[in-house]
Amino acid sequence: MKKHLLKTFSIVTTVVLLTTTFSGCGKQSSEAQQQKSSAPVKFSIMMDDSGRVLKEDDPVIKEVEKKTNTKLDVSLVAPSEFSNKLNVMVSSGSLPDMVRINGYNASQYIPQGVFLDLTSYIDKYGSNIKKAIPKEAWESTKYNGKIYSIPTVNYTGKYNFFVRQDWLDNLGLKAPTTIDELTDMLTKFTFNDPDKDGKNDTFGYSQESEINADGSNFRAAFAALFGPFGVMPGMTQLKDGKLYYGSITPEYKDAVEYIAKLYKQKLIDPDIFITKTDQAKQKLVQSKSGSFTGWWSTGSQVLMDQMKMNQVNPKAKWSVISPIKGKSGESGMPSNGLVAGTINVSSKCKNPEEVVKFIDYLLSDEGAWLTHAGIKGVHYTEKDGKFEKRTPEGEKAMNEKWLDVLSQFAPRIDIAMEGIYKVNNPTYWPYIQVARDAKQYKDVFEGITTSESQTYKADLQKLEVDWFTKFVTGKEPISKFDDYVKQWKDKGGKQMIDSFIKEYNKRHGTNYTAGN
Amino acid sequence: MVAKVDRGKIHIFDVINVLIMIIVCILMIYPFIYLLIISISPISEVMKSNIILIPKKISFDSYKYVLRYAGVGSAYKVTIFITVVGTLISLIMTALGAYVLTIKDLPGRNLFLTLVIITMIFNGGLIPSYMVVKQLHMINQVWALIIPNAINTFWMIVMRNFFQSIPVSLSESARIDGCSEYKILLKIILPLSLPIIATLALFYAVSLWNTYFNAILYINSKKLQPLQVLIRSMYDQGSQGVQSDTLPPPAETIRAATIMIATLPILCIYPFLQKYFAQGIMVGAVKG
Repeated sequence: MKKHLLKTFSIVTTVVLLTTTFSGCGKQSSEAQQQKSSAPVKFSIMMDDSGRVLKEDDPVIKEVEKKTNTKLDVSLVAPSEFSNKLNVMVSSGSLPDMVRINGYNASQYIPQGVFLDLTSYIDKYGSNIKKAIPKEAWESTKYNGKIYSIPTVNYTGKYNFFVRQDWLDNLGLKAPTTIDELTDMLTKFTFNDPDKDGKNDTFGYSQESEINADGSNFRAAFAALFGPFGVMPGMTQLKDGKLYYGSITPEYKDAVEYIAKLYKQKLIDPDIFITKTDQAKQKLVQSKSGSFTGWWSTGSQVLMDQMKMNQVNPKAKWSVISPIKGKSGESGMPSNGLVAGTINVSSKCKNPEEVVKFIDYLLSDEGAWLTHAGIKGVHYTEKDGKFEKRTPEGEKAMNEKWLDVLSQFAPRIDIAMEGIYKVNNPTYWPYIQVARDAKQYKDVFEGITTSESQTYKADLQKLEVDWFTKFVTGKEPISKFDDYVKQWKDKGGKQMIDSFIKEYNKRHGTNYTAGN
Repeated sequence: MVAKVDRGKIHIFDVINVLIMIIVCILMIYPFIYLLIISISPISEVMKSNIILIPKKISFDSYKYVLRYAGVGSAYKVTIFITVVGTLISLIMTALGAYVLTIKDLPGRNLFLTLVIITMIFNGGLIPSYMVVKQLHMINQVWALIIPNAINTFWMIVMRNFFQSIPVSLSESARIDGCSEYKILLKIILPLSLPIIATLALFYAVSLWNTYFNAILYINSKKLQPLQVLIRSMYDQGSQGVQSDTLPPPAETIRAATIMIATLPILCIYPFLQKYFAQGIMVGAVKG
C-alpha cells in the first residue's frame, strides 16, 4: 500500500513540477521585456455613490484602466453611511488608496496623519490637476501650507428664484424687482386666484424641500427673501475692515421681520416648517404655490419632466426672477461654496507618484471626457471636434447610472456642464446660466474650521433656526431679537467667530476684527 | 355542571375587541397597501392626487426601471445566498451550542453559561468588531455577513430551555444504550423541537434578509452588496439633499417599487411558518 502511494505521489509531483517549469518557458523572453512597464498598478478608491452604481465589466472603467495601466477597485458607499464607514476605515487603518470626501470633512482627519502630503507630487506630475482647480480652492483646502487634499470644485451659483410665469401673465403682472413689488406679487398670488380655478387655495411662496431642524438649510429655503436685505444667515461679510456674522445683524432682523409679516398675512405657506420634501415638491406640482427658492434643476427638470408637471398642468411655466433688490440696491443668492469635496490619498499608499499621475489623467481633457461622456463613438458622437450627442447606448448607460461613475470622483465641471449638459439639454441650460452668473453672497469664512466651530457650530445652527421659526410664526415677538443675539453669543457664538477671525487673519495676513 | 355564560356581556366585549383589532390591522396594513398602489401607478397620477385608494391607471414602468437597475440581479443573488446559507449555519450552530449547555455534567458548564450571557449584554463596539473581522480575513467576503452574527445568544438560551423541557429520560435511556451525543441531538432532540427550529429559522432568515449595516461596514465590492444596501442608495437619492446636477432623483413610484421588491419575498415566507411561529412564542415556558 505504501509503495503504491509513494509511486503515485512521486509521479504527480514530477508532473506538476514539469508543467510549472515549462509553462514559464514560453513567455519568459517577452515577459522579461514587459516586466518593468507592464504590471498594472492596483488602486482602491472609495467615495459616496452620488446616485451612481457600479456596473460589472464597466467598459468605461476598463478603458481608463487601459489608458493609465491601472487596476481599479472602486467602492461606492451610500451617502448617509459614508462618514460612519470612513471613520471605521480610518480607525482600523484600512483606508483605500484614494478617497473622495464631501465638503471640508477631510480636514478633521489630516492632523491624524492618515493622508499623504501631495505637494511635491502635484508639482511634478499634476499639471492637469493644477490647471483644473482655481487658486481659491487650493487656498481653502491647504493645511499648514501643504496640500493634503485635492479639492473638487463646482459652480458656486446653484440657486434660482422660481416664479410661476403663467400666474404672472394671468394677473397681468411684471416680474418683481423691488421688495414692494415682491410683496404685491405674493399678495396677488395668494388672494387673487392666479390659477383661475375659482378656488382660494394658493400661496405666494413655499419651499422645495423640508426645512431641517438642524438649521442646515433654512437659508436656502428663504434665500429669495433674505437677498434684498443684504444678508444671508450663517454667512459672514466684510464691511470697512470689520467682519459681521449675518445671523445677528440688524439687517437680519429686518429680513426676519419682513418674512414674519408675510407669514402672518398667509402669503407664505403656513405649513412651510413642517412639510416634508416629497410633499413640498408635490404641492408645487399641484400648483399650490407661486414661487420658491430652489436648486436650479428643480423648477426646470425635476418638476416639469421628472415629476410630470407638464402633464398634470400643461399651462404651468416656471420662470427665473433675478434676485430682488433692496432699498440700497443690495441683492443676491447664497453661494453654494466653491469646494464640493476633496480627493485624499492614504498615507499608506505604496505608489504615490502613480496615484497623482492617475488623478492627473482623470482631470486631463482626454481622461475627463472619457469619464464624463464615455467612449467616443460608442457612447457619444462628435461633430467638428465637439460633443454632439449621446448614442442610444450612451443614453442607456446614463439611465442605468453607471456611465459617469468616475466623473463623480474627479469632476471637471466645465466638461460636465458646458461640454455635455448644455448640448444635451438646451432648454434647461439657461436655468443653470442664470444661477451660475447671479450675484452671490459668499461666506468670508468658507472652508475654515476651528476646534471652536467643531464644538459649537452644530448647536448654534440649531439655535438660529429655532429662533427664526419662532419669530416668523409669531411665537416670539421680534422685540426679543436682542435676547436671541445675546443667547447666540453666550452659547459659544462669540468664541466661534473670534476663532474664525483669528484663523482667517493668520491665513491671509490680515488684521480684521469683529463688527458685531 | 357547566356555568351559565352571560351571553349579553360577552357579545359587547367581542364586538369592541374585534373592532379595535380591525382598526389596528388597517393601521398596519394601509401604509403597505398604499406603497403597493403607488408602485403600480404612473407618476403623473401620483402627482395629481394625494390619496389613492383604488388605482385608476396601472403601469408597471417603475418595476421595469428598478429591475433594470444595474445590480438588482446580483444583489438578489447575494441576499438569497446569505439568507439560505446563513440561516442553515445559524441553526446548526445555535442547536449545537444550546444542546451542549443542557448536559448537566458538562465540565465548566456555569462558566460557559456566564460567558454566553456576558456577550448578550456587552458589545465590543464598531471598530473592534471591524478589526476582528479584518484579521480573520473576512473583509469583502460574503462570510462577514454570516459568521460574526451566526448565533444570537438570547435565542440560543431559549432553545436550550426548550431542549430541557424534553423529558430527560429519553436522552438518558439513549445514552445507556450507547448512543453518541450527536445521535441523541440529531435523532431524538431535534425531531421533537420543530416549533423552536421553525421560530429560529424565521428569525434568522428575516434578520439576514435585512442585512444592511454589516454590509456597509464589511463589504466594499459591488458584486457582494445585498439587496437592502442597493435599496438604500436608491432611496437616498430622492429624499435627502443629494443635489445632483446631472441626475434627476427617482420618483416616488420608483422608490415604492424598490421597497416592494425588497420586502415581498421575505413577507411570503411568513404564512408558511405561521403555525410554528405562534407555537414558538410560548417556547421555553413551563409545560403543564
